Amino acid sequence: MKIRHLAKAFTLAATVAAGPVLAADDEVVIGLSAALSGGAAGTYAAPAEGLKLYIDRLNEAGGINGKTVSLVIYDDQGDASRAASNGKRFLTQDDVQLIISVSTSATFAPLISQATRQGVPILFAGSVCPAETMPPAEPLLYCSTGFSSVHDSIAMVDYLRELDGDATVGFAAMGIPISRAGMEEAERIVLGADMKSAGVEIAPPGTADYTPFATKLIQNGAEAVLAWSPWSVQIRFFDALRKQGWEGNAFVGHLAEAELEMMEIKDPGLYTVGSNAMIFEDSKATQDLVAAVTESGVDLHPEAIVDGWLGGIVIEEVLGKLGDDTSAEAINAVMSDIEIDTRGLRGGSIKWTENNHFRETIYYRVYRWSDETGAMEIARDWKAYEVE
Amino acid sequence: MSNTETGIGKIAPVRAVAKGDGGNRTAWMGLIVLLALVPLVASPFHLDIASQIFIAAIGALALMVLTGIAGQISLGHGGLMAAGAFTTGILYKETGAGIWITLPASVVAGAVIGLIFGLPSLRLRGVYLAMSTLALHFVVIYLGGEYEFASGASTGIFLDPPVIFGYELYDGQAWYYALFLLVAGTYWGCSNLLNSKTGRAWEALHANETAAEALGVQVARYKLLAFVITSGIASFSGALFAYYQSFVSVEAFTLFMSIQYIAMIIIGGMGSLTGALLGAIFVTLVPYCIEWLMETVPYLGLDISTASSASHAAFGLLMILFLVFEPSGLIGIWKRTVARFSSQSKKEGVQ
Amino acid sequence: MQIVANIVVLTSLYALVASGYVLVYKVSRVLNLAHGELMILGAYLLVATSAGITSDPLIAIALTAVFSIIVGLSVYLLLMREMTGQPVLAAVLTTVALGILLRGAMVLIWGPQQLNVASMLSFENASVVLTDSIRVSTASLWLVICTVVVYLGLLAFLHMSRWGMRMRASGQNPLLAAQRGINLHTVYALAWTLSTFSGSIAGVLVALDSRLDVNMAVIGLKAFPAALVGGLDSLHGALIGAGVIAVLEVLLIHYVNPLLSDVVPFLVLIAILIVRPWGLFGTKEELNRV
Repeated sequence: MKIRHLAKAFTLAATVAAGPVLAADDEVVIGLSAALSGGAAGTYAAPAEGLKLYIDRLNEAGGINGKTVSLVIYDDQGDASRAASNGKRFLTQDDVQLIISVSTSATFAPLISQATRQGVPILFAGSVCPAETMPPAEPLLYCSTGFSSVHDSIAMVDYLRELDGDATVGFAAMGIPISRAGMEEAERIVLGADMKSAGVEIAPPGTADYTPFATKLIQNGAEAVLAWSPWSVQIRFFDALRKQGWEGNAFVGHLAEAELEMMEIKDPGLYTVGSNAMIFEDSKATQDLVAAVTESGVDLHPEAIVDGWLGGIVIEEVLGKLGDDTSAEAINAVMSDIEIDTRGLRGGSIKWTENNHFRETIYYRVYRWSDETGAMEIARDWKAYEVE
Repeated sequence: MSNTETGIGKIAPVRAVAKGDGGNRTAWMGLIVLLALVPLVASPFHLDIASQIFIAAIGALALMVLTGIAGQISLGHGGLMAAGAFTTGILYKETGAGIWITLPASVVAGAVIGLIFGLPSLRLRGVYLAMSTLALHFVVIYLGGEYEFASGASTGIFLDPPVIFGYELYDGQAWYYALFLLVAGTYWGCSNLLNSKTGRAWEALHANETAAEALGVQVARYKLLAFVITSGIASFSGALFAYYQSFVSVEAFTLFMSIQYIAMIIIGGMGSLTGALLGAIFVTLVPYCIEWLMETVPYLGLDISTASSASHAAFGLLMILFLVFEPSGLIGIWKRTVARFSSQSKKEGVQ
Repeated sequence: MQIVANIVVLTSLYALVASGYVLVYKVSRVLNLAHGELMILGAYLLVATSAGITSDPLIAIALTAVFSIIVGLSVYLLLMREMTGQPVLAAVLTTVALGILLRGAMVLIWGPQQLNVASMLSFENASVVLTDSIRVSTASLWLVICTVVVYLGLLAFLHMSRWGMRMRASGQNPLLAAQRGINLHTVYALAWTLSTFSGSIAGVLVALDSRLDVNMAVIGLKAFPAALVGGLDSLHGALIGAGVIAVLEVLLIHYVNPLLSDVVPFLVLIAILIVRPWGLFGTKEELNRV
């Protein structure tokens, strides 16, 4: 299934030059660099598949505005060097007009440095939004995903204050720059709001046992803990806290794994704060998504693909606004001034302007497991935050 | 006992191979001309792979000299490359320094780190030494991560293409030629070094340290010299990596990278500079070949989601096969093949 | 006080893993760099048995123990046996390669996702209240108990049983041992089997305590300084080395900078090795020094 599609993507490494994938007039070539395999695939493979599924359905329906999408997919394994290689291939060989990234933050730098030089826009559609997409935004870089370390932190602290304004808050981060930056920002916000901090604990990437980190947070009197890092790390932090009998509430980022894992953990003290809708609520939007997945016969969990699906919606809307000129430049012009209807999968639209490639207003929802109903529940409905 | 402890001398007769490298001049010239013509026909993707091989080759040559010739094991090779890449990245970002400053600075930084982490080698050997070089990796990555975080470079440090004599080195073909020349230069430098007094001292202390000392070789001096020189080269290749890929981040330099370099010198053939080149080619190509195989042979039942783990597994398996069945590496296979053909042609000549 | 409990638990983990390094090194002078992967393989074997053979946790764990013994034995018979007589470095690099192979194979078989082994086995990893201020998880408690049992068992085995004596003799002087009629292959196979077995216990308990993914093989790397600090051929050295590293790591996390907890153990390792190249309790190996 995947293989067939990728056949176009792979050229023979051992034989003589393969020709570039030439775009027909009515075809837009988009490169997708994703962590399809490797350690991070647990998070990113599903959204990437979701995006591909969306685009396939668009093409089958005859394209958008008379244009079809040729999606060139390369696996970057969440690895920086592979991503650099993919970027070069997209730009020099496949002549893509847009690059989509669904991979770890480690792959951002190589992709950004390659693409910006060639004037090709990048859409981050499965991972954390890089700071470069936020105001003042760098040209060419756009982000459609539901999470950003700083804004998620703002929303987490805000919700925490609604619940318990006097709580002493501890912060759990992973030793990668983007996670540290988010949690240190969260601590600043907490201190600025006259709440007490139990400190930021940063676990190195190769941590074997999170217990000592959790102990420190507990001993510093943390009544609530905020965590923002890859799911596997935030959840291990949470486990370590609970194992020491800690009974506070934990607020974690809403990542692709969140819904499925929370239904297994069944802990009402674990809150996810994020901007994607969950599948359990069975709204029109989520029903459509689930139906599409079922129909495709692909072995995917609908819960895990929401960000990729939204990436597909973004592509559809951008191409819908695109005129006859399908160059990278024209695509970038459309993207820098557009409002995308998120069709019920988010709290509101994604609006990009010249200066803001993240969105003008971001909507957050809080989810948790409810013991009373024995199901997931919305702890707080959509709340809008202006992005400055 | 001394042989089994220090180890690797057995794998390949060092002197013989090192000398044999200089051998067939016409064949070498032919190869160089052929390689110089590659960019005229290759696609950008293939040129990119070639450039990756060249950068790996420089690093592999350094490790070959250190481990294959001087007999000092290092698991910190990835850390050294990171050190070079970060020196270049930080200098560029903080001062805007050009390539004529950043590259020498990276070499010096690598040499200094090599000196520091070479010091334990005066006391330690074998696996103990390998473990102490592991610390190098963790220290460099820690410092690099702290810099990235402190400077707000949450996605890494970006580099613009280097400018050489007013010409911006960006195009894939230009990089190909530049790196090609640098590999040739490194190879030439290393082979000259091996034929000098220093090279002979290294071989002596590799074969038997106590005997070398008895023969008047200043063991401590030459050991440190091996660490300093090869670390400088490794760091240099890290800086080239940074420029070529236009970015630096800690995530690009994993422990697995150090293991890949060790695999290059094993698979290539211990003790041979040409082996280092062959190893660099082989190890760089493995993942691409695996993916290609998965493409062309769909019946394997593997799909793209397994590409990374399949190439990991294949890589481990290949390393094992070479270690168990072909300890003299690709260069050993090559020599046997050549020997067979030349003995056959001799026979025919006689008849 | 909780810190003390944390140190004890971490010491047990590192000691249990380090015992695997020591067993193989003691008899054959080979440092098994695939030990971390073999340990995680133990945990994955538990996943496989509990999913495929039996849902009873105790039987599953017993079966896993049997499988881990088979794994250890086959690693020696199929691979490391080929490397006897080869330079030690070649053997060590073979274990590196084995580690990479296992890592790739485990992801191929069980996928990259993090697995919640405790819930798969319906093992409730409850928090156990030891005193008012000290709580540990059930699995951690088992880890400490198993480490004590394994160490007592190994020490008794090495010093009191006939095969234990043979193992020590082969480690001290293989040539002499062989002349005395000790079958070195049997001894080496025994060491690999015991090492994989104790590693699998560690892997299973760690997986029950937190969760399981392939990256957890990194624990093997972290237990390294422990084995080396203590001296690679000394079992009680490994225990003390594990203590040193665990104290260092927990105190760094608690009082200094947690990010240093990755770096400092290796720097301490270098410092100790420079003073005592054979570790705190290791046998001085004349040939290993300049």
